[in-house]
Amino acid sequence: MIEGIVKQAPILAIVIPLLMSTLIPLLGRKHTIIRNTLAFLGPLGSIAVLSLLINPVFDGGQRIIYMLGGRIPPFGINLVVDSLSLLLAILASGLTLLAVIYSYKYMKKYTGLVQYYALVMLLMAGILGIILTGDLFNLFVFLEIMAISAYALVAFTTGKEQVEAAFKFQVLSTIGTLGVLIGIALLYAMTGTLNMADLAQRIPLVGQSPIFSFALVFFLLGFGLKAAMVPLHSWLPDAHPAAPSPISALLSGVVIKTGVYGLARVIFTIYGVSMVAIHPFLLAVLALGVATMVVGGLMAMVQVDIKRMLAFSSISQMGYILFGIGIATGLAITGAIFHVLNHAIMKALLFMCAGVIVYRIGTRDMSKLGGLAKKMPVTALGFLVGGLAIAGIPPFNGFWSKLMLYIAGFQSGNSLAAVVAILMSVITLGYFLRFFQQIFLGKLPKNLEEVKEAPLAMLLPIVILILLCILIGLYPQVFMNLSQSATNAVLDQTGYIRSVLG
Amino acid sequence: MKGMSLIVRTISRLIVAPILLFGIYIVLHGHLTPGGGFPGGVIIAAGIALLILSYGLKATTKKINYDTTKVLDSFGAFLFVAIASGAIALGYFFAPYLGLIAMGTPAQWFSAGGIPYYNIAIGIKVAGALAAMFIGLVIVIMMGEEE
Amino acid sequence: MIANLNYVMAAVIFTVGLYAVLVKRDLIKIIIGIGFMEYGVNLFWISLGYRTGGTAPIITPGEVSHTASWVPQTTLVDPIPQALVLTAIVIGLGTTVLLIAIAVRAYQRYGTFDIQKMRELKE
Repeated sequence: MIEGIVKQAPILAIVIPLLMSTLIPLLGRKHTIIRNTLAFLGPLGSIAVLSLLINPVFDGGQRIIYMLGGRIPPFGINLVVDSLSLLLAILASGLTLLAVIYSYKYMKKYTGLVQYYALVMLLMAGILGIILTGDLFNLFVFLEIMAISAYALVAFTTGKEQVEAAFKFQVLSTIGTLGVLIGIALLYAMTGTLNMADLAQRIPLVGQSPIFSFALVFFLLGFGLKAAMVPLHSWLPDAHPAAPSPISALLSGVVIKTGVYGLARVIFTIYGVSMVAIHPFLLAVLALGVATMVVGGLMAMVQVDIKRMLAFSSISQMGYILFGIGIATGLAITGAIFHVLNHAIMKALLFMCAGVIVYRIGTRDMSKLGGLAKKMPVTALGFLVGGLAIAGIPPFNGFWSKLMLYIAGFQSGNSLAAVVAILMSVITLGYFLRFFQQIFLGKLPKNLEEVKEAPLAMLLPIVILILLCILIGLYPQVFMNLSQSATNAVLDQTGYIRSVLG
Repeated sequence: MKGMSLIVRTISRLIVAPILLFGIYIVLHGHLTPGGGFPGGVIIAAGIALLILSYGLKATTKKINYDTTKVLDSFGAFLFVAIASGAIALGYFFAPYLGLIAMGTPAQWFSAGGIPYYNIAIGIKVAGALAAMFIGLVIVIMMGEEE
Repeated sequence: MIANLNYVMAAVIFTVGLYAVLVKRDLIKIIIGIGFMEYGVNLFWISLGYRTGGTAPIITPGEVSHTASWVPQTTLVDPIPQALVLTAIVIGLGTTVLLIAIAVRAYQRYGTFDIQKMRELKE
């Protein structure tokens, strides 16, 4: 039985949330408890089946190949679970689980929650599909599944702001996915295959061609837009604050990371570093990454809306991850993957803390807040831990990943970029402390005397995330090793080809 | 939305049934002839849209209302995932089953493995979803008109 | 040039759509622009699958035997881009319907389709 589940685990991780997204509207219409249970079981089931793969993938260093319909690759669609996929998949399902628990109370005042939970499950299925698939066109389909549920979730409360943000988000994001689709079309035209391993095998055989560079630019456009890379970032500071707070946590936590994942897969697994390194492409990613961290950080400083500030801070942190990808040495990629993990945890924590303020007080304007630390001690602690972690202060988790990125920057001779990264960290610390002081310290406004701490269902995810921040900060070695094995998996192109095509 | 003139109503009364039947035909013969679950479902939904346009929303929702279409939508999706997951018992997700010959023989309905059943599920899903989209948009627009 | 007219056409349709998205102020025109871009990409995909003198990739009785190889006797166009374009069209439908639904909501909230008059969000 267990062996059977292990064999089917990659597809079950996608199918369980997908099944829940169809079952919730069917069964959960009448009874809240059924709806909530099903929404809880979706991510939980995915975590359960994925955790069965931890042993063979992380410890054994294997790649688990799953052939849909039993067709042998390169024919048909196949799923590939390597260390990178598994790490991100567990992260995505874990965060979804926390967001669902958080939503129970946070979303209670809205109607149409059946659709809300169904969309969350669909979002999660899309994310897991992107991460686990081994087929480029399948990746596009899951990208659209994820994106369409994200648009609908941003517009869910249908206020003025939500509707406008969702429209902007969707128009820009559709252009991004079309960019990915053109890139895929160009690769298909050159090689006649869509399987990632087969592509990796055939691209060197076709040899140098300007079409490949052309396709790479389209991939950078598409995935860069998803990852909020700087000239293409303008949708994020509208869309992420407009969404309900648990969705903001998911969007900033994992959804924008799929852009980086796609870029990393295309660069390292399909093209291979040596193929990409012929052009100054990685340098462009590095430069755009630095621009992203600078623009995001500077814009975050001047915000008054708390969630908008967090959204700009997300852009800034995406810059660090792109910086790591652009350097493309082993240490840099490890740091980038570790930072993906850390940023997901701390940004989800920060958005959930901001959600508590929205839920209890109903405003996002930081200038109207003050002195909340006494009224909301746990939320204040969460915001402080998240802020310090995101600024890279020891002993929190962000310190280690940022340290790795700085060292990688200096080692690879990009000292200037690394110095900018350190400077931006200082600025991040500056604005987070300033905003913390503004919201949680100082004088309590008169109209906020009656404010209470968040309900338990909302505190539970916050506490779990605080503990994770501290735990990863104190014992970084375990997670560094996981990131290291993920890096090895994504850089090992020949191993990827061999394990898929046999 | 009030509906249209007598001429439109009479014509649509005559052709809605053939349209729905044609949609079902397209769904059921998706594995043999061009078409399939998606185009067939679109044709069925188009028949419902024609009813709404000619008779108005109220008269149509007596026959098929918003909730029914939404349930059909979820049920079709569930059916598809359930059939595909059933194949896990035979080895792999989406593995050919439910029919003895996986490859299919031309012009034989009972062939091509699970594909006809997938088509039926998609047909239900698409017809329900598109009808729900259309009814939903009409309801939203009517809400705007009342204001 | 004439032989590659479909590629040129795909680029033209895509550019027209991009122009509409970037320049037009009306939400509905932007949605139409998105549709144009999608169909430009779809035309590009379909053109990739074309083989000179190819026929529709439908196998009729007696044309090919299942037991032997799957290589047909006549030239067929590549069916994979067609299947992919079908998927892309369905996805495009979902995108368009959602965009229209959001646009209708925006019209209810703001009383206009003009994007310049929707200034709830800061620059």
